[in-house]
Parts: sequence; structure tokens; C-alpha cells
Amino acid sequence: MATKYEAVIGLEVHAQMLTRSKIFCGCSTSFGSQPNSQTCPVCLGMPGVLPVLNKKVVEFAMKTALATHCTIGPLNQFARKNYFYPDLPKGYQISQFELPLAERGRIEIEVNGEGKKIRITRIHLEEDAGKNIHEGIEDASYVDLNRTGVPLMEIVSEPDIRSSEEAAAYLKKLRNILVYLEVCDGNLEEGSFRCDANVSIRPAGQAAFGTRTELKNINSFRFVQKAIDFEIKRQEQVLEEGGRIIQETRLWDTQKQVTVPMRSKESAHDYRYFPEPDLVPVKISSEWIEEIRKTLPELPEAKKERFVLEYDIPPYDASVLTQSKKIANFFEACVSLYHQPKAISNWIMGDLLNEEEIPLSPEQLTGMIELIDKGVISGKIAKTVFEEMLKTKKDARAIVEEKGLLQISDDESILSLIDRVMKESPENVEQYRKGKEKLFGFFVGQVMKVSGGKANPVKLNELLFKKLKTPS
Amino acid sequence: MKKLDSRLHGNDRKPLFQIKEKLASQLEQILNYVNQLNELDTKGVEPTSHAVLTENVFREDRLFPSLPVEAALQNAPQQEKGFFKVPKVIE
Repeated sequence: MATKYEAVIGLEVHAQMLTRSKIFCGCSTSFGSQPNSQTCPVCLGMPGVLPVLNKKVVEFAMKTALATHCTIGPLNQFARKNYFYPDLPKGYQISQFELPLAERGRIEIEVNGEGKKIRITRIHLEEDAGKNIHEGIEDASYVDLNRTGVPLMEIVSEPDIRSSEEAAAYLKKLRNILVYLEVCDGNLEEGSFRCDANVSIRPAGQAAFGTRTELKNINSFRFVQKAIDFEIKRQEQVLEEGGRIIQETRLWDTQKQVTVPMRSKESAHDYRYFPEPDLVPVKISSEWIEEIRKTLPELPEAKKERFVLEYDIPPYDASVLTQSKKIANFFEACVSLYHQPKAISNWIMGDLLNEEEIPLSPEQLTGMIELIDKGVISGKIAKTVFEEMLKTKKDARAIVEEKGLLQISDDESILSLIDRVMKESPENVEQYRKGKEKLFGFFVGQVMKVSGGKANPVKLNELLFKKLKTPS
Repeated sequence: MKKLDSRLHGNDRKPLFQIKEKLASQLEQILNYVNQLNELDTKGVEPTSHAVLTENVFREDRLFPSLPVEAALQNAPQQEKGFFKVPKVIE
């Protein structure tokens, strides 16, 4: 391609807040209930009803604002965003427009070992819309209003992102912060953490932004990267062929792995925002902000630093372990039981990171590591024990005893194994004795093999060396 | 205007032009009256979005019983399988 292009990306995240009740009424926010079973006159948009703001929603958003270094607005106002669609019974969505909850924050990300700040434009509160169902219905759509009025936080980034990798890193970081704060469960598949991406490209070095498209419907980190990469390529191709980018909303088609335009009718909106007369303004005092600040838990960044200092593990380990609160807590529970942080970290990073639910208890993992450290089992056997623990949920010691996996450490047994191997390959013994010392590794491997991996490696090395050096 | 013409004919016996003239002058008065507001200096005055001067009205995050599904759907012109049924909104 002749011109080199640079991508400019901004992300909008809608995070569903973990409140029990909806933003303006007492209906439940739980997911997956019978359709239209969690509604009331307020969220159905009946005439004459009045919404009342859920205080927890404000507090959750304040926590998020503080954790992302935003400035919280002293005066908050809600606004009506008018549009006509069956998932919105009132004909407008209650959102925030001119006076959002918070503005001007940042999130720090790391891509390929390099740190970068992504600025946050604003965080505002709004209510979710209902769910339309189109599949498998002739000439009609179904509407389920359970989700109507579920509290959302919209977190908008500045167009500071330059690649799909940065976009994914930003989203993972933001999701991690929300989960740490316990304000959102971060579930992309169930839609409690949704992302829209504004993507444009410009010739490298040009200051002005190109025309952007908005990508919707991306419900996994993998798809975010794929959709953005596809869209960058598509825009490059359009420009290279002398075309123009049209400002439009495009949907990511998971099946076909392409972005397709939404009908322009659905994306061209004049929302006619105006202040919501049914909700009074929210004033946030500095006292209230300080009160909320005190409730902030330790965030990933701080936890990472503490892990390095307190447990003396490499920064890389600390950053991997703190990417999930669950993993971080599991690690600390293990260390408090058995103080071998690096060994524990190795096992977690090697075998437990990809598990949705951690499939064993801290007692089980540390019990096993203790057996290795005491020489009861070898590191190699530990792998087998580990697999068995996941399968049977039994303790390491019980598995070791049942399966006869105890490490062979007594001289006599090891010597008899060595004898056996030496008898089986007299040529190699001769070669070794003539000076081909590289063969030592061969003997270690063979003895390990006949021992079923159970020979104590330190003992084995020591005895084998002696044995080979002493001519029979 | 056509619609207005026929309506005015319906319940008023006065000649149409007279009524139109009367309405035009009344409308003008109203517009003039509203225009007076432009003479006021509103610099530094916050836009009024509420008639009452209250703020920070909250509810606690507590559940309140929802309506039974039948009641929620009761006013819907069309319903099916517990859903509101609407004309197809996408192709």
C-alpha cells in the first residue's frame, strides 16, 4: 500500500452496575428471568409515574470515577434522550448530557512492555433499554422489558488509542478496575460490559482526524480486536481505491467476520436532549466524595506494587496475578498458608490462569507444593498429582499415597535402578567411561524412566555419578 | 389551514375572515408578550430546569415487588408468549 495510515480509536463502554434494583424503581436487575416479569409502572413508562434515583448507582459511578482519576461534577443533571424504538417504552431514555457525573480521567495501559495513558472523556449514568427479539418470528418482533431501567455507566475514552491491541488492553484494564470495585461483573457475553468503538484512519503524520465509523455489537475481547482490525483494513482499502469513508454505524458480524453497515435510518438521530423534569439535580459535595474515597478497595496497580514488595516476586508475576481479583486473592490465600510465593505464583501462572473458576482450594495447592519442597514427590510427579487433584478433588497427600507416587529417595532402591539401566546399555557405560561425559544425561533420563518419574533427582545424580566413576 | 377552516365553519356562525383576523391579532399579542423576555439580561443566570428547588432525592437499593407478567402486558395491543408483540423493527 502506498500511504501508511495510522488508526485513531475511541471506545465507549456501557457497564451494567451491580445493584440489586433498577436505577429509578425497585424492580430486580437479575439476568435471565422470565420475560417481562421484572417490570413496574415506572420502568414500563406508564403515565403519571415518577422515577426516583437509586443512591447506590451514584456511589458506584463515583467509585469508578475516583479509580480512573476523573473529576466528579459538583452538580449532576439527568437529561431525556429522545428516540423512538419499541425497546424504550417512554419514547426517551433517561441519561446525562450536559452535566455528567464525572469528566477528564485516565487509565494506564501497557502494550508490548510500553506504558501509555488513555484519557477518559466522561462517565455518565443512564438507564438501559429493553430487549427486542427478532429471530424466528414471522412479521413481528417481541419485546422483553426486564432490562429496561437497569443502571448503566457509560465510560467514554478520548480518541487516544492507536491499535486494536491498545483497545483490548484498555478494555481489559477498565473491566478489571470495575470488577475490583465490585460495581460491575464485567460479563461480556451476558452484556453487562458492552463496547462500541469509534474507528478512523489518517495518513501517518497528519494531525486532523479522518471520518470515523462506529462499531457496535462486539461482545468479546477477541472480537473487539478482530472487528477493529477489519475496520482499519476496510477503511484503508476504501481510501486506496480513491473512495471516501462514510460516517455510519457498522455492526460486527461474528459469523462472517466482517463489519456491515446498519441501515442509515437507525443511525441518523437527533436526540433532542433536554433536562429531565422528573428528576431533581444531584449535588455531590467534597465530603461525600471523600466518604466514597475511603471505601475504595486496593486497585490492580497498587496490588501489583505491593505483591512485588511484600512477596518478592518479579513484577511480571505480580502483574499477571493481579489481572484478576479472584486470582490475586487465591494467591494471597495460598501464601498465607505456605510462604513460598514464587513457587505458588509459578503454579498459578502455569496452570490456573485460564480457568473460569479456580478448580482447587489454596490448601490443596500449597499442600502439594509442600510435598515437593519436602522431597516427598518430585516436580515431575507433581504434575500428575496436580491433574489428579483437579479430577478427584482429593488432597495431594491422599493422591500420592493411593497411587504410590512417593518419591524414591533411599540409596538402595535408586542404586538398584541404576544397576538395571547400566546393565541394559553396557556400550554407553563404556563410552562414558572413555570420556563421553555427555552421556550422563542419558543415564539420568533412563533411570527416571524406569522409576516412573519417582526417583529423587538430587540423590539420583549423586549416586549415578559415583557409580559411573567406579569401574565394576 | 384547510382543517382549521372546516372546523371554524362547524361551530361558529361568524364569517371566517373575521375569526381569522381576531386570531391573528391575539397570536401577535402573545408573541409580543413572549418577546419582551428577550429584553431581560439573563447573563449569569442558570437555566431553570426545575420548578422546585429540591435536590438529592434518592431511594435505597432495595427490591420492590414487580407487576405480574399478565398485568405488565395488560395494556399491550398485541402480546404473545409473555412478550409485547410489535411490528417487525428490522428486516
